[in-house]
Amino acid sequence: MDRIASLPPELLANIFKFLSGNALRQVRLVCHRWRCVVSSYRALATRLALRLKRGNGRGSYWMGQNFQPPPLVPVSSFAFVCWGIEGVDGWWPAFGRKLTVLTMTACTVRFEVFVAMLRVTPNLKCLELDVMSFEGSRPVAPDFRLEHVEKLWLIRVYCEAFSVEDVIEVLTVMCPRVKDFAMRMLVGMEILQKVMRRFETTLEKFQVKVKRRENDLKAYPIEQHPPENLVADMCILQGLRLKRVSMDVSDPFDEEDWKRLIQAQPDIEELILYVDFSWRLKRIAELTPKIRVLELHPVCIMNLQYLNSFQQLEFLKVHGNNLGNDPIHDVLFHPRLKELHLRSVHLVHFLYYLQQCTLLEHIQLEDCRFENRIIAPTTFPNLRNLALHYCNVDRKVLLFIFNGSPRLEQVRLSRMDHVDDQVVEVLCRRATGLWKLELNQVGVTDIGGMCIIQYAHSLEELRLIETECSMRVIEILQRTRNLRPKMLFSPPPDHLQSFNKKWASVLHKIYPDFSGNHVATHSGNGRSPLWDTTRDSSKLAVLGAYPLTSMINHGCSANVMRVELPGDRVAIVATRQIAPGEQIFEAY
Amino acid sequence: MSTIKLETSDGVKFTVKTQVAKCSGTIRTMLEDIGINPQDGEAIPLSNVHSTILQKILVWAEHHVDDPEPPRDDADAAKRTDDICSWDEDFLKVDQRTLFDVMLAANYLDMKQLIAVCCKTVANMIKGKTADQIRKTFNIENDFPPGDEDKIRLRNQFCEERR
Repeated sequence: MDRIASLPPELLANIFKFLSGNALRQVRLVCHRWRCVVSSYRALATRLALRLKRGNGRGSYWMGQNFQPPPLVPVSSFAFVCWGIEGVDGWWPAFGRKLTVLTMTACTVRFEVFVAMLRVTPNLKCLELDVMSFEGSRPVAPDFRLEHVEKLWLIRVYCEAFSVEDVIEVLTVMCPRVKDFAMRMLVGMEILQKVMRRFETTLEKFQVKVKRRENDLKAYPIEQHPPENLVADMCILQGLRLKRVSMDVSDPFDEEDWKRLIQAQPDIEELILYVDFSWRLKRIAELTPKIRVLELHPVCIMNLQYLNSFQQLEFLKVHGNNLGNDPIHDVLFHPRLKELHLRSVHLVHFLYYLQQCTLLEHIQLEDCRFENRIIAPTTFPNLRNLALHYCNVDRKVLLFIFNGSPRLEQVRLSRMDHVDDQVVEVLCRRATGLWKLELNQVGVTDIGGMCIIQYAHSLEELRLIETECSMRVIEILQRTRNLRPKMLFSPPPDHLQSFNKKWASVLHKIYPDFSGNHVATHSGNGRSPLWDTTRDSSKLAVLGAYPLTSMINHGCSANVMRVELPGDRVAIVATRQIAPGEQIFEAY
Repeated sequence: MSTIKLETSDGVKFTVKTQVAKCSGTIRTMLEDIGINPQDGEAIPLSNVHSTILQKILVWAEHHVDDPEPPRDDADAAKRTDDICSWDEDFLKVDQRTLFDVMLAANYLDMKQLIAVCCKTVANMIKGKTADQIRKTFNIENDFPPGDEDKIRLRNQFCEERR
């Protein structure tokens, strides 16, 4: 008999607490009793979320009154993705009652319908709208309140017949106790002041951008010392206790503004800063030493040496798109750092930095450059999540990091030139708890795939996108364990491989240094390595050679398109029937 | 060092250091709140626990008696299961029957740390397995009416890990 049946439901729930959402999905399939436990314990149900997405552009965009949703697991977190919602009267009322989190992305809805939907979600705690477009007539505040909503994020909201301000007005009246308010759109100062006053006693996180005047493209939260502005309000409102704010501290914001703000809001410890000069950063750090979370948007080229002034940082995010190629030469030092996100940052002493941050749990690097000098072996005992995208991290540095990271659980490597089978092997051998792995456009073959099968015993989610791994790997894995696979690319057909080999030999004659089988590379996103002078220059000549594909003319009515293949190769695919003798054109 | 006596369901009496016995929330409450006086020489009856299991639990309590109080756990935080110490790992290398009996007894005795370690061990047995494999591992009968399983599978498709 099954001994596990003797356990009372609370012990089962206690066991399930340690499982991921993916494992919980399997638990629901085991037996009736287990399924009931997962459904009835809130802590477990909140681990699962539903995303109702219109399938790959198939089916109608419009979700009408008669829409029958697929059978839905009763969960508390729900997302509509890519729907035009005409009405949901049939199924929504029963479902909405349990919801605490509602997200709508890329949806179109009449405002009256939207309000009707919210009317039946009295337990909602979090409402998040992004790329949401509202239709219908000018909204009026409804007669009900969503008392539990604490997080109201109106990231990008568009309206046809009325203004975004109207939507803000109605929603902030409807949700009277918001703690966390965020918007990415520029809106007028007045409405934001109103929002802040409305939530005076509850608001903790306030992330907005303010339109300085009509048609202002840049976000400035501050006018030239106007009598009334947001910062002034933040200083005046007695009940306001802010913890997280977004600020544009570039000119004309000055030290006095900051001093006043910090005096009035001493609890601020999370900052999203748009900043123009590094010395401002230094002054802010001096005046507010206890900042724990910093998200930095430099608005022009500047040196980030003063990042070291923030000693208490636990979370650091830098959007370095405006930094140019200026490297950070200083050794950064943040002993308490747990999470690091860098984008387009050139950090010289990167490994030294990592070595100091022994508490680091999460690293995400995108389009970053480092000096690849190896230092003494280091372990990253707490590192659990690592994502690297398009960074010049050397193979030996990758091996160094993976060798020192036994606790890795989630790893994403995309467009990384030096990721190969051995790197994957070291990762899978060392990180015994790895449960999520994504390899995207990296040079991993079936040998790496076999290492995943052999060593990554905890793997639950594997994404292989445009790698040279065959479907076999996923088939084997799926046969033996609970795995959510995703494979977005089948390896190039044989004739393409021989095609590439042929051109590789031609290239070898032209460029004796050329060793690999890279024939041509062409990135559709304008970030072709060809134009990237910061890359290894010995490769540059080779990467510039598009012997065959560059002979194709451009035309307004293109009949072929380029498809990038793994290993920096490119294929030309017909987009329509091409008659014999017809000239081939690709789009401009 | 003061001791108290515990009596199991099968009538076996154990003499235990008070400090060790107090690892159990149930016994602690009995001693402190209800005011059972251990000096009386009377054994505290543990009617839900068999002697073989109590023996094992006392070994665990003896080893962990000086452990600090665990931090209050956060229901939402992702729980890790790879932090079981090697002593506990060896301790729990037992057959399933014993493991679940220890869990039940620990639950009755209100020993949060021991429950957590047991739960992690069982969670590790579930992780990465398909529903079928889970059933086989724990010898559970599939009691869904035919067709229902497919329905749940279909529902599962739209379900995902919360971000």
